[in-house]
Amino acid sequence: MDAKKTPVADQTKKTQPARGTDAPSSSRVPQNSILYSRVVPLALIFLALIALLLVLFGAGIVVGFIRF
Amino acid sequence: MSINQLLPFASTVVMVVFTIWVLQRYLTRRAPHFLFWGIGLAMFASGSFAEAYLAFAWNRWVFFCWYLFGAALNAGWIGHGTLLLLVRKPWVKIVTVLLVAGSLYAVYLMLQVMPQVDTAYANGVFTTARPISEQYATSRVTGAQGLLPVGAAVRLTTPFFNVYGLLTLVGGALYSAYLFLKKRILPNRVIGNVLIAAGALSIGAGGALDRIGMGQFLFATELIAAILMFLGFRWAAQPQPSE
Repeated sequence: MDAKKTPVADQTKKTQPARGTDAPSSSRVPQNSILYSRVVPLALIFLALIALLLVLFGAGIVVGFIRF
Repeated sequence: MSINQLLPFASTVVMVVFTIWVLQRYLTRRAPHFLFWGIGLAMFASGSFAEAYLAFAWNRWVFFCWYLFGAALNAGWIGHGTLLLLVRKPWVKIVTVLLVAGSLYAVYLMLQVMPQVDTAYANGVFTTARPISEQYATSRVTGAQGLLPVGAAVRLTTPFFNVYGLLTLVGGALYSAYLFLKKRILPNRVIGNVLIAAGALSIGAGGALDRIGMGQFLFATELIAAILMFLGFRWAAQPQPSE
């Protein structure tokens, strides 16, 4: 297929396993791994909460609720 | 020599190696996200080096680089690299133009405030005995004199760049990690993106603590950020054996 006529999203689907990657690979997340079934999801939630707090902090400065 | 004087040197070394590694990938692949990451990381490195320098001597242009690149712009540019990687839509080009224009405007505002920085320095505000992160800002609350005056316009730009950088870099890393985990593929990119998000949040938290007058933690959080993000990028970029 002509690459110039192929939408980027289609190219991504066909040549890469998922978005956010820059090199194709086919390795799998291990089954029954505590790291991937417990630790990583909890870490994602924790990091998302910290990010939310920091965004609210930054937004508070921008709109003038927080002053120094 | 205190530990706080040594930490920026370590951050600089890590960030210079990291920047070279990313820019080499840009030269090889010509993907724009590597260029924006590389520029943002170079800004981070110059900010770290400026911190290290200002622990020993004063130079107005080193301070210029420290505030502009280290405090204001770098997060936005690194985060924009992540946006370019994840989103292939026409509006991203508009955001790119806005980021470049906003950055040039921040340069202009920083140049505008430099005479006031010189005056503050002449009044003996600066000392090498304390980290620059503890003495750059004039406090609205305590009235403590800093190098930048209260209400300096360039200070008002930093939350925009930093919030944008936080949303795109951390949001992009967490979203990527979630997607890979959900699809149960590429475990190296799951862990790599978690490390990138943790590193970016480390410097974000350091910056927030600095804003509320706890600047003594900034250099440690910068070094943690440099190490975690470098490890995260390296880990995520590792080729995995096919099954």
